[in-house]
Amino acid sequence: MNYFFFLEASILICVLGALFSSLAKSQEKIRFITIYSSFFSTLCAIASYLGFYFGCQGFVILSEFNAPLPALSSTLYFVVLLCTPRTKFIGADKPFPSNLLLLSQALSLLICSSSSNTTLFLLLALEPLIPLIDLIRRGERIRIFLIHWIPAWLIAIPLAFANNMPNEITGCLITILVIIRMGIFPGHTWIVYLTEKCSFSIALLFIIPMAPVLILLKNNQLLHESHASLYLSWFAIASIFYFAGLTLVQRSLRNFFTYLCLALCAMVILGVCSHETLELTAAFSLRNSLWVALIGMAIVVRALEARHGRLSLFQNHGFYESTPMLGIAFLVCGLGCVGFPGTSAFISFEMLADEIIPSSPFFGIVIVFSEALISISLLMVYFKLFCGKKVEWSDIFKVRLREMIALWIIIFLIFGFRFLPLTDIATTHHNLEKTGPQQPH
Amino acid sequence: MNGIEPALDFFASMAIFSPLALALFMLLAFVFQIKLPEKIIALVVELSVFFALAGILGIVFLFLSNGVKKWGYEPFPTFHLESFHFDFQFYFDWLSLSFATLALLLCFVIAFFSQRYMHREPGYQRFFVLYSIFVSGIVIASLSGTIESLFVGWEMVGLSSALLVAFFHERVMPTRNGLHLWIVYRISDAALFLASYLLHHALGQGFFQAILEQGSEGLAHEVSSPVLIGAGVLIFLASACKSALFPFSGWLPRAMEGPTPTSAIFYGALSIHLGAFLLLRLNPIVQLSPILAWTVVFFGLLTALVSGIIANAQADIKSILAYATLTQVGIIIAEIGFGLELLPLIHIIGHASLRTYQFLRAPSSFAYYKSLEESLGRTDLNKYAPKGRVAQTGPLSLAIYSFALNRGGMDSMLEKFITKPFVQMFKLADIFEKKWGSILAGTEPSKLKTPEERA
Amino acid sequence: MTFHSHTNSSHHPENKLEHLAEIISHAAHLLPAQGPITTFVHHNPLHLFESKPFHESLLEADRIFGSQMYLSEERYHEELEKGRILFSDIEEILKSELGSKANEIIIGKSTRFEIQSSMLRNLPFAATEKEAQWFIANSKRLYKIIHPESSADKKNLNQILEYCLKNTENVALKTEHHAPARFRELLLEVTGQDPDLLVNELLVRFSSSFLDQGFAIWGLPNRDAGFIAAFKSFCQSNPSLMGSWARTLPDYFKNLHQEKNSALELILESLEILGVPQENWEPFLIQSLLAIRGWAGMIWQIEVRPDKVPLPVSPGTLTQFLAIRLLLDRLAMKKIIKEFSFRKTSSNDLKHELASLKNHSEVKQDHTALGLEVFCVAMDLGWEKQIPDFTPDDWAKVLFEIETFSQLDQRKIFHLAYEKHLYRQVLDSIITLEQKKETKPFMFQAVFCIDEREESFRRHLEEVDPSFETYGAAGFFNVPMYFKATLDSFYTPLCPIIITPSNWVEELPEEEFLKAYKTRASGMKTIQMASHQLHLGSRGGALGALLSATFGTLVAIPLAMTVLFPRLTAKIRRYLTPFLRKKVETKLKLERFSEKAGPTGNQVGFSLQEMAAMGERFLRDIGLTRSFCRLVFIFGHGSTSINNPHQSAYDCGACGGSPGGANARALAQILNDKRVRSILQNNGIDIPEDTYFVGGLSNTSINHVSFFDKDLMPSIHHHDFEKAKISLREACMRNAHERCRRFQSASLDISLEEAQRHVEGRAEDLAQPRPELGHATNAICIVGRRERTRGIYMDRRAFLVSYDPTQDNQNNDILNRILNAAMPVCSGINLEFFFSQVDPTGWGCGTKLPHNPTSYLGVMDGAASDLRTGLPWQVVEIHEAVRLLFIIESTPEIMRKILERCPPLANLCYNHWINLVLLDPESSQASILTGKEFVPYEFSGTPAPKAKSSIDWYRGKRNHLGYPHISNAMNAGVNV
Repeated sequence: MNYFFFLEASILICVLGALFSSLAKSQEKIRFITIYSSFFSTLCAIASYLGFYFGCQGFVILSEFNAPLPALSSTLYFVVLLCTPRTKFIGADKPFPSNLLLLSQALSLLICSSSSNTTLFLLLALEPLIPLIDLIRRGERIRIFLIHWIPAWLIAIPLAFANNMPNEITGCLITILVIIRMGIFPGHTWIVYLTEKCSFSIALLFIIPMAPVLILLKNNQLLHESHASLYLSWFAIASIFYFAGLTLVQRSLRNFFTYLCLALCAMVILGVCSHETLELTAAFSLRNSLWVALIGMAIVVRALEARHGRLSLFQNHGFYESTPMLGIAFLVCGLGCVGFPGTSAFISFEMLADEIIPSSPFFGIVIVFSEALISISLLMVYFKLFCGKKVEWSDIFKVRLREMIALWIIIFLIFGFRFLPLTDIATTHHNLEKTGPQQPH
Repeated sequence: MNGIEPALDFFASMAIFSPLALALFMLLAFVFQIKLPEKIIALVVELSVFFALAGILGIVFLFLSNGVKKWGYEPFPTFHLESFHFDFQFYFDWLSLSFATLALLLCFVIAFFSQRYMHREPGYQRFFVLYSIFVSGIVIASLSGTIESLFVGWEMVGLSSALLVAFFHERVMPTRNGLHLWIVYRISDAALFLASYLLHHALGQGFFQAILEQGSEGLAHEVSSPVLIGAGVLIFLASACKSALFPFSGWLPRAMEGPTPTSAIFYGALSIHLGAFLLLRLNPIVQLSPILAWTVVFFGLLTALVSGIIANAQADIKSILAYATLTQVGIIIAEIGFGLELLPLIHIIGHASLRTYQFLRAPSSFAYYKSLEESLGRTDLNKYAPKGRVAQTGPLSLAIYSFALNRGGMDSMLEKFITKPFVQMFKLADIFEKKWGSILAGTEPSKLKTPEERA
Repeated sequence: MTFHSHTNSSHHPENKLEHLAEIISHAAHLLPAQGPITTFVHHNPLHLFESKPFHESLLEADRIFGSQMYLSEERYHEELEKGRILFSDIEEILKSELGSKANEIIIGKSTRFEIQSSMLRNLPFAATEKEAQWFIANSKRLYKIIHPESSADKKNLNQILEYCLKNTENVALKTEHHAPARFRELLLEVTGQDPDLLVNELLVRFSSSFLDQGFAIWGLPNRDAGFIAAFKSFCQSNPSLMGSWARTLPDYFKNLHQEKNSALELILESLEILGVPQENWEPFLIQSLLAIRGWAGMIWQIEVRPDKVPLPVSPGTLTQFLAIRLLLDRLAMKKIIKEFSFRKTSSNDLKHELASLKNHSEVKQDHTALGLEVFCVAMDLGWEKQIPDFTPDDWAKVLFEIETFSQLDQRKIFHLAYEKHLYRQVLDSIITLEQKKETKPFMFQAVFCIDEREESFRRHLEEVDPSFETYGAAGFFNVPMYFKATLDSFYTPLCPIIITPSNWVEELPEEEFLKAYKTRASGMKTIQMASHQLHLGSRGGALGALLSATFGTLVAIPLAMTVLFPRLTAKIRRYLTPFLRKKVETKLKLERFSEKAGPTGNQVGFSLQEMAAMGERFLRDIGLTRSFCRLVFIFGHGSTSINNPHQSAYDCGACGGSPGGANARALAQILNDKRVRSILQNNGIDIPEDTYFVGGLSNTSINHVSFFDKDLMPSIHHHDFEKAKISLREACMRNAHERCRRFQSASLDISLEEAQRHVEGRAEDLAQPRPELGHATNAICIVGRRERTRGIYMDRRAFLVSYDPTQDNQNNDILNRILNAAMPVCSGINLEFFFSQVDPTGWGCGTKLPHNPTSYLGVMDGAASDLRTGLPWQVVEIHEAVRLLFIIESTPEIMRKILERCPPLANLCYNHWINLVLLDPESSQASILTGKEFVPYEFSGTPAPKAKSSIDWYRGKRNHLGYPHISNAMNAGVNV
């Protein structure tokens, strides 16, 4: 076996980048460091994936299953950073948390590549520190955050180290942890607060990757045996419907986006609760598709907010005229979220519903129905944001080249996902068959 | 089949891939923000629709000359994973070929029409992007041989229709009406999705060919018919939404917000008949249960009756035409419910051509009525109207009139029983969420107003 | 606005009702004045404001209508970049507007003039703070205006902006913030729900049925009882079918009696329940009416002119409409508030509920726009060093300056510069035109309508054949009449809308064609009836099924043919209609034998005296009183197109939106009458024996001319006629060619024949939203002798009115007459185009593409919208929004006298709804009406460009061109 330290290098670059950007004085310089370190880290992550294909490994051992994930994860981080508008760095009232973002990228790389339960739980416990720090830096209250996370930490730490707990307790604890971390009803309030108060980039990069999916996959057998997955799936199905309904009545774009994320994440969790390989495959590839689509949506939301401030959904804004590209991207990502034919989520969504219906027709109907609800509210929000008003001064707000490139990457991933080896469903299925549910604890 | 498969393959791929390539090309240009000149767009659209049409006609020719009656074409390898399979197959028989010919012919004519009609419109390119998505959707839907591939076309048609209704998107009304259409179409999609699952569950796959070959009797014998009947109900629900049957008719007059050619092709001709086409395609399933078949007949006739009444009170040309269309669609659906096959198809084709022509000529109705007036005289004109313009004032005719002018109260009914309780419930939930959130966060409870609007 | 209603006890209810009635009748005049679209008449949408100066009216109208009044600043900046507006013009205008105040120093070294011109140079926009930051970080535009010597780099731009924003934050804005008069905006802001959406949908549907003139198959029950009664019976009969918000409607009608004042009482009740204080009644009611102004305006139009439609409405309908509107508003608001606050509201609580909603509303004045404006000025004038040292006093001064130079003021300056550039080009070209001294005789004379679309036709005709002399006169040719063609079944007025004709004229088939005519008429009738029945049948159930299943597929053939090959199909259609092909010669029944004029029998026609009077006045008006040629052509004009609801807008405006052929034909027949000629001879107009008048029709969309009564022409004229015809045909073709340069779909190197085919194809194309461009680009009106303009390329932009000042009498009656007709008509056309171009959706009717013909009265956008009035975007697209420049060959003294006699004209001129220039009849001096004085115009020094022929000049160009002298067209008359 050849030694090949790209993944490690990628993590290191992020950490160093975070360090230097904390030390840098001028905002221009911070911007420069952030984007470039993220870029090189992404290059390294992609290289590590290619390397894996040629049989190279580093200290961190990648499996066939998680090899593509670091590359995908850091690509998305890079895309988000790439299209961060200048106004966020320069002259904004609150400094852009670029160092935190780079740290978070490093953490996410670690999570994607970690293979043992212990490290996963530890990293999971570590991760929320980043939004917490950001909240504190911004001078926001952190009560709601602590109310949720103190119990979660108390759960995560023992889970990481205690190996001999009875299955029932472990399952139960994992369920609670997942409910809190993923914002499954009723553990979602803090996420709504977070997206409102925290830096949007931090919040979205914290929520959208759905890190606990890996834990659920890993402990699938255990959860199944302890019936915890059943309970979790009930919570998930309630969440899907509830949040899908809530997306219909939101009055601000931020909240809409939050509930959209929550509903879709819950859908993935529901899939992951299953014991069937097919369903797990569907859920896992759905997660990857949604990851991309939601990040794309988030980029659009952020780009709009950078231009016009927080947006209310009570008025029509008519932004299509000034930024047609954002409109197109919003639609494409939205359709990617609901599994429209041609997007990467299509097959996985079909599979998921197809597999869930026999085991529980009720779940199937709720999923199909919620998906319809989400697609309705997506188009509604699209119309509110991009239509219904004639806008002047169109050329001032037109899309910048960086944003354009970022969105092109996302759109390419949404449409072309199936063509990449990355998450080809068959491969995933194959890997899951080998590693997934049968994974001993 | 005496060696004509390669030719059939060739024509079929022409028919299917040229609209798909068109949609892809237009989408790519759009996503990359490349502004294409009007002439190029028109040329590309017309050429590819023409190729598709030529492909279809080629297949028709081969069918006729070789006496072939049906033929399946699978361009992509089937996606199989354990029990899950996704078959993307196209199926050519007299039904799909004639519907596809109709669709492509109308699309071709309308593309020509729009090229001049939309000249210098700022959304010219956007129009044709959506138009090409629609064309490929309708081609896939009409030619597909499995319910999955039909579903793909079905959704493409739905999306492009909704966005074309909202084509003039700087006004609010088109977007509202586009959303209305989208909501109904999504219900239809959901129903079709579940139907597709049930079909798979019952038959093991979703090939139309198998269903058609077995016929309803064959189906009844072989597989669990309750599941199939469930599928039939869902299919009927899907096509009722798509074809604007009672009580879903509300979206049809609203869909007239788009430019005239789209009203003509979608709501006069193709989209509206797609539901009927689906029922016709899966008629063996509908005929499986007499109750279901009679339900179809009932709703078809009810729609025809109701919209026939409503049409009389409408005072704008496009609504008049919309309800006139619906009357015929109702009758077509009823014909299908009776188990007829050829008649509904002929009816669809004739009706679609006729209505398209009438919709395209809608702007000239002033000139039409003026010339009518000039040669018949104003007072005479009123005499020639069938029921007489002198309005009746008896309670019954008043009731009928207000029923017609209120468009059967369908929208308010759906609003009262479905939309409003649902939305109000979630509004309450949202208020609760806000309160709960502020209690947990320790911030002051906001008075119905979230902070960002104040910012 | 306060929400506590203090019912003023000093007012009696009757007084209140009277007051309300007064308000409503005032508000009605603000509604669009467009009648049924089948007789489209151009008019100034701000007609009511003509008694006030142009700019002031626009400021006032801006508050009322919420539509744009000038082009957008962005658009003006584009024109500035293109060179269509010159910055030097802007500065000049600014200086003259400011007068002595221009050089006052405001701060540092910067004068008021500098600040204002800097504001015109840069392009800030109304923005939120985020948007301002984005602008600074990303806009290239900003870097254009930064002072070249400025030390500011990108970094501290933000600090300066912050500084500007901070210092403007606490200033009370001087420009008063207009609280919306209605509650809709409040509800929309707080609840996100729009009550108008609910109300308008129902109201539009009901109004369209109420006003329907024949589209719907069933008429509205109880329509004759009035709007309220019909509405009442409509909603009482089936309340459960209405939207949930309107279900309680019948309860509200229980106590309502059909008394005379009930509508007003209902309005009063609504005002009280909504808590509108009496001082706010007027704006509130005006805005409530304007909420769907098209329908309200149509009701008002039909109410005051019931003769225009077959099914009129009774007086007071508008008031009833308003009463219902307010009632529905109340219900919709109640529903929205109920859903918003999750509790019930009783009807009388509404004002408290609205007041409490007000607490949720947090509309605050946004100062960012002002701050940004200050920032831009600071960057432009290089203040960034001083800005931190500004004292509060300085800030106050600067802010005052910047704020008082409002956006509309800025756009006004732009607009004036926009006009000035055009006017200068025109005037320079006219005053430098060399006058021909020697006159050569002409062979033909041709009279056209003053329409600016005939300008190019006349010019080409003069170029093709210098022996043509052309005249322009209002297209009804002074023959006002009700006219009925052979196949018509009723009379149409052919005269300007302000004149009510008192004579009726009928077209009758010649004796020998009577039989042919009869078969044709009955054939037409049968065909029409049958096709109508088929059409109705195809919409019905059973017959529709039969038709569509049997013949439906065959329709695909005409469908494909008309769309793919429009011209071929049109030809085939003409070929297949034998009735239309069989020629029927007709004559006009022009002379009346009975005393009284009337529409039937012997009463049809004019008396000899009337005919002579009309003929004489016509000839004197255009100054054709001597040197008659052997052939004099008189051309009315019309336009043909299909699939075009606005077709009537392309016909002759002077004929009330109908083609003017019949008037030309009648006039020719009158002037050919020997008895008329002898009367004229007695009055001093000697028409030679061998002069013959030929009436004709010029089709402006396909550029064809046709002639009437050719068979009556004496044979001695045949040779000349054929010669003239060749020239006319050639001119038509060239005219078509010149028109084609404006059509994007015609290539620029199109040949003459292709051009002719192209314009013909347009008129017959089902898919063509622009069969012709109508009056688009009109900008000038010249009243004077043709010699003063013959040879100038006017780019189809000038109304040309013939008037010979040397033949006018002491009182200038002729000029007075001409201006009284031409000025309101031309300015009406021009201002309609002006506003429709400035705000295509506010004043115009938006794009044509989604138009939906409704009620046989007008068009809606899509399924249910307001009735759209004004001109469609496709028509005004290439128009330049400038006021009409009236160039009159006369002197200031005469003009003053005329304006004194005619207050409406004085309003138009002195208030500058048109711009007036006088051209001295004896010299090439011109004077411009500036304010109320005539100021001599100074030649700018750039000579007008020259070209050999029109085609040389316009070939290969699409946009607006200058006004060159065309040497080919200057030769006049034939060399003997």
